[in-house]
Amino acid sequence: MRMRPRLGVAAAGTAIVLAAGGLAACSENKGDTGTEQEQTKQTTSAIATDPKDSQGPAPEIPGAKEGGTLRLIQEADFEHLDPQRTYTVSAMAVEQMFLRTLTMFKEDGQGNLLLVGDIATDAGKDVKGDCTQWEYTLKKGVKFEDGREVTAKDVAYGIARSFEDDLGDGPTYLQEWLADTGDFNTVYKGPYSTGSTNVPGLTVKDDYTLEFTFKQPHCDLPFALSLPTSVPVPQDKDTKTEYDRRPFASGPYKIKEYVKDTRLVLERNPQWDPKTDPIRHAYPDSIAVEFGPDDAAQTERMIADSGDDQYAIPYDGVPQALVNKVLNDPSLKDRTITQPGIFMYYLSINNDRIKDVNVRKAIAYALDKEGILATQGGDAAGKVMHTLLTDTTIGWKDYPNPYDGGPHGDPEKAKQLLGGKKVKLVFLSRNTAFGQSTAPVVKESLEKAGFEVTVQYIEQPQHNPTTRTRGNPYDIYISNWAADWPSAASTIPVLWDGRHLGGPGSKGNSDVSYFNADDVNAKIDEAAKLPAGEAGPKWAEIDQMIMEKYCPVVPIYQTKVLSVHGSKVAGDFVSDAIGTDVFYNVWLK
Amino acid sequence: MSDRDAPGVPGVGRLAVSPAPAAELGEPGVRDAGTAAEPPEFVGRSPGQLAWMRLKRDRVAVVSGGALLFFILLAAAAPLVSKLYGKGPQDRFPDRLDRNGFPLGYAGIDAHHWLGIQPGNGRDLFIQLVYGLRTSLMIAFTAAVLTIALGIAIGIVAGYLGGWVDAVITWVIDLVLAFPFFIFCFAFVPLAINEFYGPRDEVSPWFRGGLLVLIFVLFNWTYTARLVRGQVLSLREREFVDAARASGAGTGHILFRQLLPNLWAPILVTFSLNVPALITAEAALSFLNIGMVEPTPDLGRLINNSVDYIREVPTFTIVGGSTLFLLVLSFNLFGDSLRDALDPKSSR
Amino acid sequence: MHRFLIKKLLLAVTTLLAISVITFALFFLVPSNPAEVMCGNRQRCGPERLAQIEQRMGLDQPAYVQYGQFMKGIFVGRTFGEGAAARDCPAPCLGFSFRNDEPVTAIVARTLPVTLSIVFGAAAVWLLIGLSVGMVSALRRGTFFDKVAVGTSLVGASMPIFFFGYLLLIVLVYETGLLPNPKYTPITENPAAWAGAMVLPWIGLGFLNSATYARLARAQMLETLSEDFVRTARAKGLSKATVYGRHALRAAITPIVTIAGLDLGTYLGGTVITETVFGFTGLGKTALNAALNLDMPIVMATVLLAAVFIITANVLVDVLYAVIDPRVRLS
Repeated sequence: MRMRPRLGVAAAGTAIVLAAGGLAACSENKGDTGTEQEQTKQTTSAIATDPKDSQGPAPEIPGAKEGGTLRLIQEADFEHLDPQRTYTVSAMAVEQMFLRTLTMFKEDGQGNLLLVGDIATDAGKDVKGDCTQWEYTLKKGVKFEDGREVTAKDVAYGIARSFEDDLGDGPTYLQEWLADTGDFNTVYKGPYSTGSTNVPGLTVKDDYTLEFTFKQPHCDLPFALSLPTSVPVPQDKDTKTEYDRRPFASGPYKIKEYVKDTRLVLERNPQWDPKTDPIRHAYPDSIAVEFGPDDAAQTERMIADSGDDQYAIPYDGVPQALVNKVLNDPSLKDRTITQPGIFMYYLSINNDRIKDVNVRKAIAYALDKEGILATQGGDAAGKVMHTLLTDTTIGWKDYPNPYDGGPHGDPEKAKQLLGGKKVKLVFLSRNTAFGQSTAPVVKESLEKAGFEVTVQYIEQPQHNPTTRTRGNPYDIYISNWAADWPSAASTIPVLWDGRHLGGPGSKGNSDVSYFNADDVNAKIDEAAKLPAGEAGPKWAEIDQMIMEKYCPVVPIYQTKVLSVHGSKVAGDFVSDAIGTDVFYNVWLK
Repeated sequence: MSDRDAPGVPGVGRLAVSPAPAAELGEPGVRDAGTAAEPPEFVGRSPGQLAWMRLKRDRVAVVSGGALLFFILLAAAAPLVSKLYGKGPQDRFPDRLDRNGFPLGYAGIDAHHWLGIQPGNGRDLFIQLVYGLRTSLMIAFTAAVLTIALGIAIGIVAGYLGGWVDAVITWVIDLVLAFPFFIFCFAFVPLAINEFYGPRDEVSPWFRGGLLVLIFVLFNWTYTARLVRGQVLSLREREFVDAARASGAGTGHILFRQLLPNLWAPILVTFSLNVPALITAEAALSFLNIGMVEPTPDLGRLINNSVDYIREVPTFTIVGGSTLFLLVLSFNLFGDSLRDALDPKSSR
Repeated sequence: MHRFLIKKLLLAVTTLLAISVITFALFFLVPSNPAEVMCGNRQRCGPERLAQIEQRMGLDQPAYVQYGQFMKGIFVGRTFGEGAAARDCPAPCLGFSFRNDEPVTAIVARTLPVTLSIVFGAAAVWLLIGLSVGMVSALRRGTFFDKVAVGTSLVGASMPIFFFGYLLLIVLVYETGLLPNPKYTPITENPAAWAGAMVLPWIGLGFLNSATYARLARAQMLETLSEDFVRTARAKGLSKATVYGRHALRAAITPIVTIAGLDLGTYLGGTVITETVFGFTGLGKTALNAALNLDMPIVMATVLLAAVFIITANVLVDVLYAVIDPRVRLS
C-alpha cells in the first residue's frame, strides 16, 4: 500500500487555517470600553431676531489658517447633487460648501443653534403675524459662479422645479404648503411640464423680494427654507435631470470635477463674497470627496493617519466592529467625535389592528430595548429612549418613562396588562443584518410576556412601501425617522397627525402606526400656530401626552454618531440640525 | 452562478462534483466504469466486497469517514446535545457582552460557552454550529438523493430512447446550465411562499428548506443525467444487452435489470461528491441572504453575520468557516477514497 | 463544420429566448410591485403618483407587451416616457433603470469591466498554477511534491471562497497590512491601482480554482501517458521532452480546455460571491442588487448576458475541441 499523502497535507492545510485565526484574536475584552457618560445636552435654538446675526463675514476662528485640501471619504456616491432632489444629509453637508439657501442653521458644535438668513437678510418676516404670509429680502452681492447676482427669480425658479415629478426626490414640505395639498403635483406640475414658472402662492415682488402665501399657517417656514429646496437655480443653466452632475455654484466653492462613483472635487469660487456670508469660512483651498472605501476601511485609514489621510474626514462613521478599537486607543481621543445623532428608532404598532391601548402598553413594558440596541453596537451606537422626540429637538424635555420595564423589559407587568389574554402579533422585519439581529430580541422579549409572535422577513426595498400602505396585515415593525430640521414640527405632525392618513390601501403614509386621535390633533394645531422659536415646550407636552395616553409606538433608541478624523483636521463637528459632519468651520493644520 | 465562486453551485453540475470524474466520466463511452475489478486470482468476492476491503485499508477513508460520522451524529443528535449542553440555538446571553455588544473575555470562550459568544445578539456559538450542521446536512442529503434519482431517470430515458427525446433533454440541460442560479432562487422562493402562505402565516422552515431542495434538484440533475446517458449509450450496444433483447426481454427489464446494476459505482461516487457540493451551495445561498432565514441556524448565514465583526472578533468568522470547510473536506476526502476503492484503475 | 455551427447557433438562440421568457415570467409573478418600491423613496405616494410611475415604467401594459417591448428595444432601441421626461435608449437597448436613472447599457458598461478583470486575472492564475502543478505532479508521480500537491488541491477544492476570501482579508489586510483594502480602479485610469485592487480576488479565486485544475491536469496527464500512442512514440526513440511536451500534453489538454472554457463562460456572467467578499460591484452583484430592488430591466439584461457568455463558451469549446484534438471531427 502506497503512502497516502492527502491526509497529512489536508491536516496541515487545516492547521494553517486555524493558525491564522489564532494569530488574529488574542486580546482579552475586559468590558471597560464605553463612550463617556455624556450629559444629555439641551439644544437651545431660536430663530435669529437680530439681522446682524445674518450678516457676514463669519467671525474668524482663533488659530485657523487658510490653505490645503480637505479630503472627505464616503462609501457610496451621493444620491443626488441637484439641490432640489437632495434628501440625504451627507449630500446636504457637502452642498453647503458650494450652494446657498435662503436660511441656514448657524451652529457652534456645542448644541447652540441659531437659524439665520443665508441668501436672505434675515430668517424671514411673518407679515401678518399668523404664519400665513412670509416675506424674504435677499442680500445684495450674493453671486453665482459666473459673477451674476442671485435674484429672487432664481430662488423662485429653484422652488418651481422642485414640483417637477422627474426631480421629485427631495423634501416636499414647501411644495405641499404652497399647493395646500399632499398631492401638490395636481396643483402645479413644474416648469418643464407646464412651461410656466409661476408657482401658486409664491410671488417675486422684485429682484430682491420674495413672498410666500399659504392657506394654512406654517410657522416652521424659516426652518423648512434651510433645506436645499430653496437653493437658487438660474433658469438658463437648468439642465433638468443632468443638473445632478453639475449644479451651478453660489457658495465659496464650485465643482471642478465630478466622476460619478469615483470622486468629486471642489475648487474655490472667486465670485463668493465672504462679507455676504454669516456662516461659511472656507479655509481649505479645495475639497476632494473620494467614493468607495467602506466604513471599516475609512476608520482603518484614520487610525493609520498617514499622508493625505491626515487631512481627511470620513463620512460613514465608525462601524460597530471597530468601536472598541477606536475607543480603546488613547491616541485617537482628541480626534474622535461622539455626539447624539438625529435618528430615532421606534417599534411601530399598527393602531388600525391593535386597538386595545393596554396591549400597546404591554408591548412597551415587555420590549427589551437594551437587547435590541446591543445588537446594533450597544452604548456606542445609541441610547435607549422613552420619549418620541430625540434629545436634539428644540424644546425636548424628559419625562418619567410611563412604561418603565427596566432596560430589558418587564414581562410580568406586561402580563398583568394583558390580563391573561393571548395576543398574536405578526412582526414585519427587514431581511438584512439589522432585521435579522433585532427580530429575535423583539420576539423573545414579547413572548416572555405571553404574546405569540410571528416574524415575517421581507427584502429591505419592500419594507417601507409595505408598512406605509394603510391596511397592511402586520401588527408591529421597526421604523426610523430623522427630523428634517431640529423642531418637533418636522416629526410629530408627520408621524402622529392621523388627518394626513389616506384611506385603506393608500400608499406612502408616514404615520406608519396609523395613529389618529382628535385631542392630539387639536394640540398639534395649537402648537403649529405658535412662532417656531417658541413652540418647543408645547411640542414636548404633546410628546408626553401621546405616549402616556395612547402609546401608539414604542421608542427604542436614538442613534449616536461616532467618527474619527485625520490628525490635521480642525474645526470639524457634527451638526445637530442635519446629524452629520459639517465643514464650514474646518481648517487644516 | 459559477463553480469555484460558489463551489459546487449546481448550475455547473459537471464541475460541481470533483474534477476527476468530470474528466473521466464526462465523455460518454470513454470508459466503462463499475464493472471493473481486478482479475480475481482468488475466488468468491463480489466487486462490492472488494471495494469495501479496499476502503477499510485506506487510512484517509477511515479518518475522513470517522469525521463524517462524527458530524452526522452531532447534527442528528442536535436536540440531545442542546439538552446536555444546557442551551438552545435561540438562547441569548447578554450579560456575556460588553456595553458595545462585544463578547467579554477571549471571544466569550469559557467553560459554559465552548466556542464563545456571538457578538451583537449574544448567542452561544457552539450550539449554533451544531444546529447549523443539521440544516446543512439535511438539505444537502435530501437534495443529493433526489438529484441522483431524477438524473438517473432522465439519463436512462434519454440514452435508451434516443432520437428526439434525447434531443429535447439535451436542450433542457443546456438551458439549465445557462440559467443564473442565484437570480432564480431569489425570485422563486418568495413566489412559492406567496402561493402557499398568507402574509400573516408563519412559514415553516421545513417548507423553505423543501423549496431549496427543489431548486437544487432542478439545477443539479444535469450532471448525473449526462453521466447515465453516456453510460447507457455505450452499454446499449454491448453483447449482454443484445443477448437480453434477443431473448425477448422487455425495455423495462433491460433498463432496470441489465443497465442500472452496471451503473451503481459511478453513481455512488457522484452521490458522495454531490453532497459536499450541495453543502457549499446551500451555505453560499444563505451567505447571500437568499437561503434559510432566521431563526433556522445556518452555517452560511453565520459566516455572513460574522463578517461585520471580522476585525474585532475574527475568531467568529474562522470558527464558522472552519466548520463548513472541515465538513466539506471530509466529504471530499471520503468521496475520493470511495472512487479509488470502486475503481482501482483510476489514476492515483 | 458549417452545418454544425448553424445548428448550434439556432439551438443557442432558442435557449436564450427560453431563458428570457422564464426570467421575465418569474419576476412578473413575484408578489411585489416595482413601482411601489420606487414610490417608497418618496415622502408621499398617492394612487395617482403610483399610477404615473407605473405608466412611466411601462408596468401598466400587459406582460406580453412589456416583454415584447423589451426584446424589441434590444434590436431597434426605444424611448421611455414622453415630453420633458423622455429618455432615449438607442439600440442595443437593454432597458432603462428608473431607479438609477440611466440606461441599463451604461450600468453594464460600468460593471462588466470589474467582472472581466476578476475573471481573466484569476483564470490566468489558476491555469498557470493548476496546469504546471498538475503536469509536474503526474510526471513525478508518488514523490513528495506530488503528495503535497494532491493534498493541497483537496484542501483548495473544499474551501468556499466566502471563507477563504475572508481569511485572506484577515491575514493579508487586517492583521498584517501587507495589502491595501481592495478598491476597484479602472485599468484605463491607473493600471497600478487596478492591479493592486485585483490581487486579492486573483489570489482567492485563482488559488481555489487552481486546485481543481491541478487535479484535473494530473489525472489527464496520467491517463494520456498510459495510452498507446505515447508508449509507441517513446519506443520509436523520440525524446522524453518531445513526447511529453508535444504529444502527451496536447492530448491531455483537450478536456482541460473544455472545462476552462465553460468555467470562463460561467464566471463572466458574474462572480457574485467573490464580488461580495471583496466589495466590488461587478455584474453578479449588480444582478443581485437589481433583483433585490425589483429593477426588472437590469435583471433581464444581466441574466441574458450571463446566458450569452455561457452559451458562447459552449459553442467555442466545441469548435476548439476539433481544432486541438485531431481525433474529434465535428459532424
